[in-house]
Amino acid sequence: MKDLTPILKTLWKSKTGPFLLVIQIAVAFTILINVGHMAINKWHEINKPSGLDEAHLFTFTANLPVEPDSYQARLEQDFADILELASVESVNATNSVPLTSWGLGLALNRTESDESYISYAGVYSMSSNFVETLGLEVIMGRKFDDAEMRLSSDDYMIKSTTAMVTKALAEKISPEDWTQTVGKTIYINGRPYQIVGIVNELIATWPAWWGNKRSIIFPVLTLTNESKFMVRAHPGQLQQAMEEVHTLLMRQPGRIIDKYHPFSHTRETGYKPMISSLVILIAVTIGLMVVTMLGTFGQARFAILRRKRQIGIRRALGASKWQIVRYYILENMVITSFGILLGVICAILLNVKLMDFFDLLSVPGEYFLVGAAVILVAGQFAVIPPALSAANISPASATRSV
Amino acid sequence: MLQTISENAKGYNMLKMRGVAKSFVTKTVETQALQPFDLDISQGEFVAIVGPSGSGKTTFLNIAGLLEAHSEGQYYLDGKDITGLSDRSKSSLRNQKIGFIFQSFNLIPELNLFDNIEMPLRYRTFSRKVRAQRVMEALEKVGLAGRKSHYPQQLSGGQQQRVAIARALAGSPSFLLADEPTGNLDSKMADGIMALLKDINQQGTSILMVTHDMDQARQAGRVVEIRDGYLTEQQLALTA
Repeated sequence: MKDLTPILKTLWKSKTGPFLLVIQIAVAFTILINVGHMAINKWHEINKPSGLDEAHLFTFTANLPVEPDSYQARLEQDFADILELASVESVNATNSVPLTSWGLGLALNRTESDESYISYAGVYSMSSNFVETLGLEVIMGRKFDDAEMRLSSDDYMIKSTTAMVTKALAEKISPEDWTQTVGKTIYINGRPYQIVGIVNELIATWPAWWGNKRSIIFPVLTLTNESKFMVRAHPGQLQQAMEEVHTLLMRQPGRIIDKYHPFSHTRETGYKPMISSLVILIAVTIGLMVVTMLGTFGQARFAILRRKRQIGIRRALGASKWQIVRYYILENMVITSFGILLGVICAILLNVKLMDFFDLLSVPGEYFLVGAAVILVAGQFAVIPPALSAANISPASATRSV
Repeated sequence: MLQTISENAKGYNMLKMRGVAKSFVTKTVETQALQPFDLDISQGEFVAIVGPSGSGKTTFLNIAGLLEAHSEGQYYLDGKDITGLSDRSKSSLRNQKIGFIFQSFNLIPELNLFDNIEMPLRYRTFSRKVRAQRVMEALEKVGLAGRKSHYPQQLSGGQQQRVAIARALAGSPSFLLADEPTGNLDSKMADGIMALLKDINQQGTSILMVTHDMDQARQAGRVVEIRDGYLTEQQLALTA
C-alpha cells in the first residue's frame, strides 16, 4: 500500500483520463446493478412454479359437435371415454389454460363496495377433478364437493357461491395470517363468494403478469361450443395418452381439435417473449462489461505507453517487475473503487426512479456487493495484460535519450 | 585482447569487472558493443568515462548500473557477484547500492520534489518517518529544502538535476552513476552540478560519470576512455 499516496497524487495531477474511466465504470455499475436485478427477477418469473404437474399434462381445445342442449351430455361422455384409456389418469375442462395469456381477471373486494379492494386475481372456472388433473396441492380447507361442481349453460359467476384461492391470494385476503382465509367471504362485482379451500400454487394465465401467483377457482364450468381440455397422463405415458385421446375424440363426426400440445410447449410458448427479453438483457449486460473492460484495458495501456519512460525510471531506481505490476493493479483498483462509489449513488437514484415508473422492487444490498466484486475482478482482468507488459519495460530505457 | 584497467585503488573495491563484454545478437548479425575488459573502481574514487557518441559509453553504464546484463565475464558489485542474479535481486541491488543521475534528470512530473526523492525509498522497508528524514537530509545537501512541495517543471534545469542528485543520495548508495549529468545544462549550472558532485565525492561516495566534456572529465580523479567498444585508461595531466 506504499504506492497508494503517489498513485492518488499522480491521478489528481492528470485527472481527465482516469475521471472519464471513473464515469464509465460508474455508468456500467449503475446499469449492471439495475439490469442484473431486472434480469434475475425475470429469471425467477420464468422459473416460477405453476403448481401444475407439467410433465404429465397436455391440453387442447375441442368443439362439442352437438346441439347446445346436448353440450353437458357430450362433454360428460367425452370425459368418461377419455378416462377409460389406460394411459390417462385424469381429465377436466377449464375456461382458460394456465400460461396461454387468454383468460379473465377480476378485482376482489372485502365488501360489496368497490372501495374495499383487496387484489386482482386470475380467474379459473373448472369442471370436477381439476385438483387431480392439474396436480394441485390443497393446503388448507377442502376441495369442492360433488354438489358444488356443475356444468352449466349459465355464467359460472352467477351459479357459484364458493371459491378456492391460491396461497398468494390468501395472503392478500388475510395479510395478517393467510391461514385464516378459509371461511371468509370475498366480493366480486358485488356478489359474495365463500372461500372453502386454499391451493399452494396455481399460476394465472398471463406469464408476464407479476401478480400471476394470485388465482381464484370457481366450481362451475360454463358450457360453450368449444371446450378447453386438460388431460393428465400416467407417468411415462404422455405421448401415448396424447395419441390415444386424439384418436378417440376424432371418432366423433364433426369434431375439430386444435392447440393440441404437451404443457411443456405451453410453458415454452408462454415465456418466449420474456426469455427473449432476458437474453437481450443478459447480452446488453455482457456487452457493457466487455466495453468497460476494454475501457479499463485501453486506459491502462494508454497510461503505460504514455509513462513508458517513467516506468523505465522506476525500474532503474529499484522497482522490481512485481512492484510495477502492483502499482498498476493498485491504480486500477483506486479508479475502479471511485467508479463503484459513484456507481452506487447513481444505481440507487436510478433504482428509485425505476421503482416509480415500472413498479419494480428495490435492489437488495447484496447486488451492490456482487456488482462491486464483478467490476473489480473485471477491471483487474483488464489491467493485468498491460501491467505485465509495463513490467517488461527495460530499466535501461531510463538512460536512452528522450 | 583483454584490457586490464586497475590502478590507483584507494581501498576497498566497489566495482570489480573481469573479462566483461557485451554483444548484441540479431537474426543476422552479432555486434560486439564492448570488448572484454577488466576494471576496478575503489571506494571513494571519482571516475570519468569519456568517448565519442556510439562508442559504447551508455552500454557500459547500463552494465555497471545493472540496467542491462553483460554477455561475458564476471562483475562484482560491492563484493557480490551479480552474474546470473534474478531480476528481483538486481532491482534490489540497484535500489540499495547505486544512485542514478541521468542527463535528462528523469524526475516524475506528476510528483513534487519530496515525493520524487521518496519514490526509490518506497521500494525499501524504511518507515514513513525514516523516509521523510532521508528525503529532507538529501534536499538540504543540494540546497533545495525549502522547495520540497514544488513540482519539477517549476524548477530550472540545474535545480532539477540537484533534485535528481538528492534522489540518488537519499538511499545512501555505494556509488553514484551519472550519465552526462551536465549535458542538458548551461555552463554556469554545469559548474554548480560538478562542484556538488565533487563535494559528494569528497565526503566518500564513489562516482562513475559518463561525459563528453573533457574539462569535466579532468575534474575526476581517473578517466577511462571507451572507443569502438575498447576501454583504455587515460593518463591526463593534472589540472592546476
